[in-house]
Amino acid sequence: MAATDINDGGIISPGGIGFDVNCGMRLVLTNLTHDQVKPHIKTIVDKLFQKIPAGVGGAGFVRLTKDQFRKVLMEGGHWAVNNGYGWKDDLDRTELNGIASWADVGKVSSRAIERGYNQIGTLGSGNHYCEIQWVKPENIKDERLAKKWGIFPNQIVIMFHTGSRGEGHQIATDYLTLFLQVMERKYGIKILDRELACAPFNSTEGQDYFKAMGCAVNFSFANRQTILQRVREVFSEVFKKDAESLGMHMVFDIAHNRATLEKHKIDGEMKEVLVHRKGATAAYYSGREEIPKMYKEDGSPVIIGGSMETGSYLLVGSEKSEHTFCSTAHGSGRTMSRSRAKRLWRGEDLLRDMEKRGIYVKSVSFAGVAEEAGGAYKDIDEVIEATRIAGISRPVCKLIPIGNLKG
Amino acid sequence: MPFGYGDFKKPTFKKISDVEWIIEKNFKQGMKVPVKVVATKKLVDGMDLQVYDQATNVATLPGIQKFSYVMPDGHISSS
Repeated sequence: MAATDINDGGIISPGGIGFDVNCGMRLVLTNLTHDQVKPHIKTIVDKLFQKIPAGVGGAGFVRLTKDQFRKVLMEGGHWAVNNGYGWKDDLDRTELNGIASWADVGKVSSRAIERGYNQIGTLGSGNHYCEIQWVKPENIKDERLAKKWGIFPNQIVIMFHTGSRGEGHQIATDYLTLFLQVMERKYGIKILDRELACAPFNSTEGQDYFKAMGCAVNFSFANRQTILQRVREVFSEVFKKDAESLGMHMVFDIAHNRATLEKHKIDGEMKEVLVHRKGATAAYYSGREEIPKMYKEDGSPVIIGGSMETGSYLLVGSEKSEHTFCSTAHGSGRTMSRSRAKRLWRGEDLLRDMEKRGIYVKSVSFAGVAEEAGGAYKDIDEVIEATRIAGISRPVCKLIPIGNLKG
Repeated sequence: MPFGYGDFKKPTFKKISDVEWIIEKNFKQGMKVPVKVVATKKLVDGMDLQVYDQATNVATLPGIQKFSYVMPDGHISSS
């Protein structure tokens, strides 16, 4: 994670943001209990598997012309809500209100449009997933905030993890290539690491990338918004009530691969910096302007996803987060490569073993499951504890998986 | 680069607190700021050396303020 001073030659770097631009997590409530949902978990996960395309590539359920897609890249979550995917309230519970207002689709290549226009409404692969989670009573760590945010003991909630798919990837690739061409020649910045190619934020190239990145951000907001609609439809079908009656409001939507312009005090001086969060989540302390109205006095909700075997956390941005430019962890972190994980575990065995432990997983590929084995990740509790001791984010509750749709 | 491959230099960490560790600017040529690792000692010891190589490269970026940060879940990623 790095913050650069845009008024002092500070750069923007695609490598500091991540190729899966605005990859993030969305957490959704229900008013259902574990006892009510558990008997239907296979049906729910199977239906999600049918309704939400997952895996590498794959066309989404949202059919768009390239012109309509360009509109999505400008309007993000707002496009989705205005076209029948979700509620206006969802945008109030999303970072940036669900739109990168600085986006400019004119800065996006035709190759990127080509790659992305049929991918809205897809989960992706790798560590992307849609998980049904259980709030065990003993896992509520902050009773006051949990209650305020709509969390109750034995509740079932849904969390999903996805980003900007081929779109974000192509945009990052396009500008990485461009920056490699100009950074030394035009701006005298030595290339130490090709993956960290950059350009001054205030240069033409820097500004173009920032605006194109905004489009990738909008892609992912629209993507998560349309997937949310499908999740609500599935629950509605299974429980024979509309999503509103099932209390399916969002808690929040966060990203952990994005750069945002923010004001921070550095050595007593207020500066405007570009905070690059690659594999880091924003954790704003109480009162900061970035936090939507309903959460402003609490601090921003933070979602940190663990492995499919261990669970995830809902946290709140803490008072000392200024010392990390309001940033915290994003997951538990891999401890081994995907190829090593596939050598150590067999997908089919893992699925059977997890089902015995009460977690029903449906995946597009067995190899993909093996890659995501819990043993391939760090201990999430330890990661969370480190952020708590550092005063940057504080746990509100831990969420245990009982069902999972894996890409 | 794959996990655990490559000849990465092991940094010396200066302890600020139980969850704050610094890699000083002199670790690599061109570093404009130090690296701050926010993690317990156990997590620091378990991190792939390539994480610190990446973080110290980030520390050379023009305009970077205060520190190049590594979070407790720091790991190598291509995305």
